[in-house]
Amino acid sequence: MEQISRTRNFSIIAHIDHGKSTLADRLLEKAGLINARNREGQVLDDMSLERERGITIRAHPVTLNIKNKKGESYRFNLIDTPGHVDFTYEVSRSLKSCEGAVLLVDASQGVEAQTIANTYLALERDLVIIPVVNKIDIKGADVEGTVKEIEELLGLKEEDILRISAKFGTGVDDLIEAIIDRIPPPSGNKEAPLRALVFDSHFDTYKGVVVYVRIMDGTIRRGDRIKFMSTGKEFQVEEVGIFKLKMEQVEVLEPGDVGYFTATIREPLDVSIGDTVTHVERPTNAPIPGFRKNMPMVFAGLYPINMQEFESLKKSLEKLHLNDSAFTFEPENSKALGFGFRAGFSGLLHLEITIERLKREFGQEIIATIPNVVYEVVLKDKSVIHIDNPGKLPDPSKIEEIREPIVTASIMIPPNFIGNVMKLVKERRGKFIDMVYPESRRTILKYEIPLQEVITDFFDKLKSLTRGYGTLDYEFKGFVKADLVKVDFLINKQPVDALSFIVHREKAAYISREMLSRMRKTIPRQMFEVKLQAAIGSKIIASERIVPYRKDVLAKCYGGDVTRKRKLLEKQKRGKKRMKQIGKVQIPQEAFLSILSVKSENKK
Amino acid sequence: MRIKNRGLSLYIHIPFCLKKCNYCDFVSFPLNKREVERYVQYLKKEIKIFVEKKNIKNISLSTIYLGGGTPSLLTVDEMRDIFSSIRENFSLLKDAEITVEANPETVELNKFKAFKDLGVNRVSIGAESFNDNTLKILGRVHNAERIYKSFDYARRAGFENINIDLMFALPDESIKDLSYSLKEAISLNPEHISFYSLMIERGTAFYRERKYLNLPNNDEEAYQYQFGIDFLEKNGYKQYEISNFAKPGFECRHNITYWENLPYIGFGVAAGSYFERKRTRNVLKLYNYYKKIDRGILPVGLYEHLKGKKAKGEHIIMNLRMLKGCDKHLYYVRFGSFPETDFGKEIKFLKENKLIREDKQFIHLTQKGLFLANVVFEQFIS
Repeated sequence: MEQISRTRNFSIIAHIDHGKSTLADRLLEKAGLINARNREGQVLDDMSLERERGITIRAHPVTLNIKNKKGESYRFNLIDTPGHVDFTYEVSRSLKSCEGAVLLVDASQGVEAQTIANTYLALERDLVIIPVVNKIDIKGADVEGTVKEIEELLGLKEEDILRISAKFGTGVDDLIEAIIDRIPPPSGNKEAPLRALVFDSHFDTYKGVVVYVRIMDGTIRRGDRIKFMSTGKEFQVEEVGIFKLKMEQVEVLEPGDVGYFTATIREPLDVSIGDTVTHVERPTNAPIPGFRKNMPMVFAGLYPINMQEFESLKKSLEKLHLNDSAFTFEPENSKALGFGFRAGFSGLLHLEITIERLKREFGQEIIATIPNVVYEVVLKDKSVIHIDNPGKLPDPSKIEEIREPIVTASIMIPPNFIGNVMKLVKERRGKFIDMVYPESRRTILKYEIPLQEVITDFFDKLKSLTRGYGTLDYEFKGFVKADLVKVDFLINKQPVDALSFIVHREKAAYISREMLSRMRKTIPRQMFEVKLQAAIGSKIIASERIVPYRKDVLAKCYGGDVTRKRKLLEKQKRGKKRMKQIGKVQIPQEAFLSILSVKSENKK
Repeated sequence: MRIKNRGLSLYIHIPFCLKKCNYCDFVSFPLNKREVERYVQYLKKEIKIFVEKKNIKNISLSTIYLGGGTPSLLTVDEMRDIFSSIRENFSLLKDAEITVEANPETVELNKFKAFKDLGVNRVSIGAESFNDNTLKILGRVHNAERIYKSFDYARRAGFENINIDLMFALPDESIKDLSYSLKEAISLNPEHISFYSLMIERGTAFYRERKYLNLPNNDEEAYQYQFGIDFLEKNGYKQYEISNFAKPGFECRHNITYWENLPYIGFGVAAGSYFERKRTRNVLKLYNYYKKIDRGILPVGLYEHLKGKKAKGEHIIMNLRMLKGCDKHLYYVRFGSFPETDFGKEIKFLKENKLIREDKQFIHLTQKGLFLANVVFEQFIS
């Protein structure tokens, strides 16, 4: 029998702690990649940050050789998927490389809203779902109740639902049989021109970019001349392989295979998720549909707290960028904050994660400015410019109009939440386009919403309004004229250029007040009064003041504690060094962090 | 004020208390008679080892200070034992200032008399507050009544130089309560008043309970400080250090040694020394203290030899605690440079912000600088 008919590509959909990693470990054991004794925790998740925040950012595929009950050998490609809206596109590409998904539900927790949302994403892409109730052995497990729940909420048949304990391996063999029986083998034509879907990548210092691919048609080998269809860039393949625990070279990747290739690609931006790889000599004329250009949506200035750390920040960003090509950065200069970078991200979470990684992995203490989108500005002379830094907006007298980016958003929710969600979208200046009911349990709302309104807390709001059931996907549509104003931020009457932001006129006052009140709470009292103001042009629209502290004295200092008291002062001084000095005012990092998440709507 | 005689200063730490106060972060242990007896013997041994090692037999002392803990817990015999050991190894200058700290709960007339006979000429009474409720919150063992009594005993024993410790920024205390304490304190007519703000130090009961303490905010605390300064100055107590006030001529010479950054020797657990330009601090545990002395070595736990700019900065910080400030000529004599050369930028910044002032001889805190002394001190930390 041909290899392709014995290949199964799938992912595991599960809520945090419902046992995804444990099940993956059991499958790795079945394939002989690890044994029960030398387990080093759970193998597939390796970024600690992901584990803490309960989100998977990067997909780690693994190829497993597994025997069924009859002793026939099958090849399983297990593809892990990220789980947040900032990465919806990445999820959809990962799912696109699968034919099926194992839906894992904890018997004591039941079906979680997020699980339903992800299951719908999989159903949207016509994946075969294998529902599995896990942790049937534990105290408090309600196996039959959970089965019923899956039946009712997801419309899956009771007799199709498996019952397992990933921890003890109970039922795992049956699950393997189900994967083989129910998930169809991939299809594809070996002789056709190469079509390979890029679903992830990482950077290797020696090999350059390692491109993760699922082969749809054709084959790929070492020495092949290939090109990326979105850019037309050509490379010669150096190495092809599959993922075991580590990467393992193979001769060839064929249709249905999940693996990688390298081609001495030095620039991470040359590789975009969702792109199609084909041969230079005999290219396909049908790229895999659904590709979106890797385009950062959210921008923010990143500045070192101490000016001297500019160079080391640059090095850290370069290193980080090798493994996360979704963010971009270029140097910029602020009067108030000194030298820094303007960086682009796929969303707000991506920005937050990047700041966190800079801190944890590189020990880099930075401050970020208020996140913004790119604006299109038409000047009086009819020329058009794009602004990714509000501080750089030309003088209003030179501006004909400002246009903001609009996205088409698909919001999938259970029908009973339609009213709430429509209200939310209206507050966010959304324009209704369409509403469809693919089936009775879910509704898809299509809206056009200004991107600026989506990047703030929209997703969190949507989740809380729909008790976790809502999903959001959005795609850039174009620029549309809007009534936007630039708000300047002043500390003791001195404008802080890097903190200017562009906002819809109606929301300017509310957002400014919210931002100033957050800053007031995080900036410590200083020895003089600190006045925080927000202004449109010369008109002050919000202000706060921080009264000076009146007393700061070590009451006692005698013979026994001279050294200790000096150390206390040293510590206090070090604390101040970690603050950004703007004019005479010391501003802690938290003050900048606090304004990242300023809400975009009025709590009426 | 002038340092009359250039002898050394000696500090002796008595780390025993009836009960630890809720705010106290000094090293102290519960009272145990056996332990105290043993401790006094080791103090004597430490003095002997120090004098022999440093080869300073019979060097002159100008001040002695017994602090704690609660030195007044010592029996008269124990106290006598300590003083004879001091006299055997040092030579006391005629006008030496000899202070003993006393807890109002632990002294009777006879004990004060005996202390006086041993040469003690200054007592410092830890009153802290005259409000019984506050004293309870602080975890003090005495009440206001005991303060009057012990003060009276001290006078009757013949002490003509008495300090009263008072605190402000206390939990649950309004300006009215503070005003009452200040009035009661001066009604006793002490020669010296120490007026501290309560600091919530790590490792104290107050630190653990800090969320539940009703403490004044920063503005109120500043107001209380100002109130105290004005009140004491008006009543003839001149402020000569951030927390210290005295009638003219009664400034505490021992403590001035610290702020002038002059050498001193400390004996006992946790006691600090500044000798031969090195700062040391003795070990904090009795067990280690005894062990080291048994081995014939000095019970030093921490050692620091500051050089260059750090030493200069520390000198200025200590000096600035005194209202007269830092004597630039003495600084020059000591370091061979002037403060302006070493800290030009910092001094300029502080002057611009009106935190310090300068005249020909001195750099000193302004009224604003007094309240924001840490901001000033930080400038001299490198």
